[in-house]
Amino acid sequence: MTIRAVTIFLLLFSAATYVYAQNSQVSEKSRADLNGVLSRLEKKMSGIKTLKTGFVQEKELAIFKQKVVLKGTVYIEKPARLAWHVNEPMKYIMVISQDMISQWDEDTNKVQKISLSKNPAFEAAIGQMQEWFSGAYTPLLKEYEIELLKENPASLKFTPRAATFAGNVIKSVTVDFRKDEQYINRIFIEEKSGDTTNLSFVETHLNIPLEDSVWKVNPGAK
Amino acid sequence: MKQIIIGIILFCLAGCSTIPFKSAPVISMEKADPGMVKEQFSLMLPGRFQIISTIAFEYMGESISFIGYSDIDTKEKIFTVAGINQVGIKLFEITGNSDKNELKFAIEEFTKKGNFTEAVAGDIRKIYFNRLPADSSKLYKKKHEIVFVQDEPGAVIEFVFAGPGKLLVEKRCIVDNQAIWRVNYYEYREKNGKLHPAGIILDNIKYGYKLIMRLKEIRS
Repeated sequence: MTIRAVTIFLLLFSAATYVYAQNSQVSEKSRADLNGVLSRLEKKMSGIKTLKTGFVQEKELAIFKQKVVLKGTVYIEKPARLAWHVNEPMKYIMVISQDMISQWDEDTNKVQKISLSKNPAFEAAIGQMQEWFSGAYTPLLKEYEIELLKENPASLKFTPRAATFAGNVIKSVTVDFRKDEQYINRIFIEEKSGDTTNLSFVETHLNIPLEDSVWKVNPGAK
Repeated sequence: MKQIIIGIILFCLAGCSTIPFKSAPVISMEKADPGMVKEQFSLMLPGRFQIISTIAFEYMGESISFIGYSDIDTKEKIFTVAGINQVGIKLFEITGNSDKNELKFAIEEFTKKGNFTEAVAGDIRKIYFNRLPADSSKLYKKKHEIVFVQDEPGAVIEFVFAGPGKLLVEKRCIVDNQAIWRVNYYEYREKNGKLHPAGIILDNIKYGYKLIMRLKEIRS
């Protein structure tokens, strides 16, 4: 997995990457405002134990100026389980659990398993994800500058600092929260290549029981 | 005896390999006019189109799949193709024209072995370009097929037309009496008066891989 792919992978799954901006150019007031918003969001998100949300992912490739749209459902169970189900334009399931990523797609009808401990890049990605979902944001502090675009409901723009992991690929990431700020409404990623990804979350349910079948990839697969 | 065994093996292989598309119904082509068949098909071929497909790549028992976005201009012989995986990560981006191919982007895994750009560009050309036999082609008729045979330097390209629509169902390249690749087209779908195969299988016999493409969206 290349740096680019891992970076986008991280961002696609990032929920609330509210990082403390230590930029000296940011005024004291806006820094205080930002701190207040980040604390508020962290408190609201900390109560989430399980999550089920539909998503619409619009990938616009600069070379085409047209969008590829993927639709599906994401399931999260803290502390370490995530399932990513795509229903359109093809069926695909990815389940991350403990040390393993399992994925299946209808075209090949095969299950592929990737051990995280044997794939350090993936492991790093998942590790960061777990930190975001658990509210441990400290490891991300050095990566981004944050701009508070809107206070209530919060809208945050993350710009990777120069010469960082994300800075090689990403121009900016904008995260909009829904009205009650209990979860994200939209993540918009602008890449340096001109490609963009708009990930909207719809029909989000928090703290509901998740069925066991959610964590299984296709049982009839080869 | 040997021939019988080979025949049984071939029969089994044919029976066991699953084609995920419907083949064109078998009808008699005995009364079909080859000139008309070619002419009518040429009128239904799209000049420029954009499509989204899912693509499964099979090689040595392994397979991966991804979403393909293609912008094809069959008249100008220009194309742009991109692959993204199911979580939206871009895998590659390639453009090409009649003179050259250009790799705009590819993840490292794709560029480690062989010439990835030339391989993808070659497959695009096999599948979408030159789907009409040249006027100089010879032809032979079978009960259910019309086959145009076009001579190329060091090879022969055969175009097989069949089914109720008398459409191109197979294009194959033969070298020394052996097919080195073939493209099969299935389940043609009409949009804006032009035909697009909903299923395509490219079997690269020489290099031992297969591409199975399922059409998802046409953006002509």
